[in-house]
Amino acid sequence: MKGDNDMTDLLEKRLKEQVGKENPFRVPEGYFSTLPDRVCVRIARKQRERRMWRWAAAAVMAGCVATASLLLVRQSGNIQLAAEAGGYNADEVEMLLDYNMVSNLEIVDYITEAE
Amino acid sequence: MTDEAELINRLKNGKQREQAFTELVRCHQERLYWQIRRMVVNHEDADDVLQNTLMKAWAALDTFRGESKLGTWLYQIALHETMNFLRKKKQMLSIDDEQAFMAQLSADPYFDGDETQQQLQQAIRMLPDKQRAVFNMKYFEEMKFEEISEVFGTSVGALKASYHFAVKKITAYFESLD
Repeated sequence: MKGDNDMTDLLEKRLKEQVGKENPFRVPEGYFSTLPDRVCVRIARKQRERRMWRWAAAAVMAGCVATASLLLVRQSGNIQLAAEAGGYNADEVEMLLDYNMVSNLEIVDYITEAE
Repeated sequence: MTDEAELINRLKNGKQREQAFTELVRCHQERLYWQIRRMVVNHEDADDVLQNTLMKAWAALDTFRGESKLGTWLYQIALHETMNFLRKKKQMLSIDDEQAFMAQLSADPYFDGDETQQQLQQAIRMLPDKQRAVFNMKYFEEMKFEEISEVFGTSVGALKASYHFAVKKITAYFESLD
């Protein structure tokens, strides 16, 4: 291991003598003095965008809730009409609808619980 | 309380966060920039990667638990961003064209190197990405292996071996030119 380290040191020394280690790169004038401000501007823009997305998401959610409520109101109206046409009362129709929506899994749960 | 601990406190404080972050950027921007620039070579790319690094750091401030120094943490984010950038760039264009790379360096208004330095850049460019980062940190920035180990989360032994191979390959490249 020490031998490897010595070899690395030797090669590194030779490389430094041959090519040096000066920095050949430059930056545009004033780059570092303006960078923090440019980053702050980007952060502020990002925060604004995030706020806008939150508002947009909230608006979509509100729209979904409003649509769902409207559909529910309409559906209860339909139930009322169906009940009147079939001679059932609305509660009986809703019970039938609930029964239709019971999944097989729920039936299995119900049976095993009863046992 | 040390300066670093005080800065961390201010970074966690909503009201002082922005000002503290500006101080953090001012303190570390040059080291981060040169770390990135040596990897991506071109100034515009280095600027993009550095700004993305700082944006990610800002977004992750709440997750900084103080287990490492702020500088090391920023170095880790910068390294991750740089590696991602290089991976995407490699998918877009071939990096095997030595002449095209040399021509690009000669035309770069922010590169002042002579022919030997162009050759050194070419030799460095031929190293695998991680080995190149280790070489740059040790050779140019003279970081200790222990510090590099914190950034990479790799053992000192593995880094020494990586650096050894890098120096050997670059030396061999120059010998092949003679």
